[in-house]
Amino acid sequence: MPPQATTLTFGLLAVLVAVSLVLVFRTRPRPMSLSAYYVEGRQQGAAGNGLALFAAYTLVTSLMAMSGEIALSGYDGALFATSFAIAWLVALLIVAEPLRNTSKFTFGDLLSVRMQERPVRIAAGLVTLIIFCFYMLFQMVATGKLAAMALGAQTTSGQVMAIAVVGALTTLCVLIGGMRGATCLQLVKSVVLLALVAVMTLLVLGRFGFNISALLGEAVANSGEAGAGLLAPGGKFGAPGGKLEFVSQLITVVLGHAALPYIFMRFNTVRTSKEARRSVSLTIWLIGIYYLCVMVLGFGAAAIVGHEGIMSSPGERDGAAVLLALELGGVPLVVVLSAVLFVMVFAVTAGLMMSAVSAFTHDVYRNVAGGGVEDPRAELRVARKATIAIGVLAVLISGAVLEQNISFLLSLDVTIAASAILPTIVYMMFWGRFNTSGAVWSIYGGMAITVLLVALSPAVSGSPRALLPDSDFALVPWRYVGIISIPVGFLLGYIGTILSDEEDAEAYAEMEVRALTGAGAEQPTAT
Amino acid sequence: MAARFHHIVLPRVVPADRMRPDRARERRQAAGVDARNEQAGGDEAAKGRQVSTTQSTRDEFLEVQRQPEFAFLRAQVRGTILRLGSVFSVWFLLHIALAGWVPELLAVRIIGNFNIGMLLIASQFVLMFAITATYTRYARRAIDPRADGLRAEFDRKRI
Repeated sequence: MPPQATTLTFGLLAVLVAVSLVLVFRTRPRPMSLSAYYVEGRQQGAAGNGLALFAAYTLVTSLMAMSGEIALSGYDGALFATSFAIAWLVALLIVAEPLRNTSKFTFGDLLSVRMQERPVRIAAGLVTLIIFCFYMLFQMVATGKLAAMALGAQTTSGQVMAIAVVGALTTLCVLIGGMRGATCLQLVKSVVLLALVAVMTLLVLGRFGFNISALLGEAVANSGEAGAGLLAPGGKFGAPGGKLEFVSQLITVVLGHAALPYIFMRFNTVRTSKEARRSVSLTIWLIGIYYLCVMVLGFGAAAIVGHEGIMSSPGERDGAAVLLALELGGVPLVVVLSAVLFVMVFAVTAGLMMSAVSAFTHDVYRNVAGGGVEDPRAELRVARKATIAIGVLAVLISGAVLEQNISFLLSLDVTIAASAILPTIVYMMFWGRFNTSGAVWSIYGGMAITVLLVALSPAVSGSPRALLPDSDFALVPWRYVGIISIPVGFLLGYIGTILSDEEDAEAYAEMEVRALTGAGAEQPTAT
Repeated sequence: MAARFHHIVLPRVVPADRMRPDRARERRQAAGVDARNEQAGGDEAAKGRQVSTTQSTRDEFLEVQRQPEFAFLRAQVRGTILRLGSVFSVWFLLHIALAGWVPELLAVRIIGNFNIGMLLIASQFVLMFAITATYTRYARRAIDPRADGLRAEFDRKRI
C-alpha cells in the first residue's frame, strides 16, 4: 500500500478507537459492582446483546480467510461458511435460555447449581482459560499480520508494537467498563462491519447488474483450471485428509461455537431468558446475512480479481478481500477495510478477556489460591488486577510465538468446546443422573482427547504448514478431529457419571425448574 | 411462511389453562420422576454443593417439578428442541453426505449458473431463518405463558 494510505488507515483507526473509548467511558457502570463488571449487571437489552454477539463471533478470519476460501475452493468454501451460520441454531435451541436462567457469571456457576462446587469450578475455570489462551494467541498473531499488511509494519518489532497497542487498549476498555466496555467495542464493530460488508456486496452485485448467476459465471470463467469445478463440491472434500476430514470440520463448527465460554457468557448480560432468546434470534439474522454477503464477496473476488491474481498476492487466500476492495473502490475502500479489520480484533479480544477474567477470579482463584474471597468488593479488586495481568501475559506470549504457524489453534479451540463443554452442558440440562464425576470426566477427558489427537495430527507435525514442520509424528490422518473427540467427550461424561453413586434429585429439580421457568433465576442488579 | 411451517413440525398451541393433566401425569410417571423425587425427598444430598438456596427453597423447586403443569412444560420444550433440532441436523447431514459422495448430482445446473448444490446452500439459509422464526414464535405463544404462570406461583409462595 502507498504510504499515504497507511497514514489514512492510522487516522481512521484512531477516530474509531477514540469513538469507542468515549463510548466505553460514558456508559461505564457507576458505581462498579461485581455483577456490573462481569455481566453488565444483567442490564443489557435484546438488541444490544444480539449485535454484541454478532461482533463477538465474527473474527477477522470470517471475512478475510473465508472470502478467500470461497474464491479459491468455491462450493466447499461456501458450504464451510454455511456451517458457521447454522451453528447458531444450537445456541438458540439448547444453550441461550436455560443458561440465562441457571448461570450467574461463568461456566463454573452453571455447573455448581447441580454439582459439588470445588471440583467443577476448577475444571470449568481451566477449560475456559485454555480456550481463552489459544483464541487470544490466534487473535494477537493475526493482529501482527494485519499490521504488516495494513500499516506497513514489516519488522517483527513493528508487529509486536501493534500487538502491544491492541492488548493495552483491550485491557483499558475492560478495566474502565468491564463487560460493558467489551459490549461498546462490539457495538461499534457490528455497525462498521455490517456497513462495510453491505457496501462491498452491493458494489460487487452492481458490477453484474445484480444478477448473481452472471457473477457465478464470471467467477468460473476467471478461475482458470480450477474454474470448471468451482461451483461443485471437491475443493475441500478433495483435500489430502480425505472426505471425512472436511465432514469432521463442518460438524465441529456447527456443534462447537455455541459452547465457547466467551460467547455463551454474553447470555448472562440480558435481563431475562426471553431477551436472551430474542438476542440470539437477532444474531442469527445478522450472521446469516453476513455470511451470505461473504459468499458474494468470495465469488466476487474470484470473478473480479481472478484465481491468478489472488494466488500472486503476498497474502494468497487471506489477501483476496483486500484485492477485491482495491478493485471495487480503490485505495479509499482498502483504507476503510483495514481500519475495520483492526476494530474487529478489538471487539473479540475484549469479549475474550472478560471470559478469562471471570473464569480466573470467580472459578479458579477463589478455589485454589484465595480460598476466602467471599466479599464481592474484594473479588472485584482481584478481578481488576487479573485483567491487567492477563492483558500483559497475552501480549508477552503472543510476541514470543509471532513467527510460529499457530492457525490450527482456532479449530483446536472449537473442537475442545464441542468435545468438553457441549457434552457437559447437554447432560447438565437433560440428564437427571448426571453428577460431579461425570462433569469432571467430560471436561478433562474431552479436553485431553482433543489435545492428544491434534498433537498427533498433521496440524502439529509432518506437513510443511505444521507447527513443527521438521518433525513427523503425525499418526492421525486428519487436522480436524471432532468426529472422534466429540463422541468420546459424550462417552466419557456417561462413564464418569455411572462410576459414581452421587445423584442429587433436589439439585436437578432446582436446575430444571430454574432453566425452564426462570423461577429463582439471577435478577438484574441496579447500578 | 413461519406459521405454515410451524404446524408441520410442532404440536398445536395448548393454552396453559386448557391443558389435560392426565396426559401430563402419564408422561411424568413414564419418566420416573415421581420415584426419584420421593426417594431423595428431604435428604441432605447437597454435599459441597453451592448452598445459595435454603432447604425450604429447594423443597419448593421439588414441588414445582412434581406439578403436572411443569411436566407438560418440560415435554413441550424438549419436544420443540428435538423436532426443530432434528429437522436442521438431518437436512445439514444429508447436504454434507450428498456434497461429499455424490458431487456430480450437486453439479447439475438448474437455473442459469445455479446448480443443485448452490440451491441446497440457499435452502440451508432459508431453513435456518424459518426455524428461528418458528421457534421464537412458538416459544412466545405456547411456552412463555406456561413458564410465566409457574414462575409467578413459585414467587408467590416464596413471599
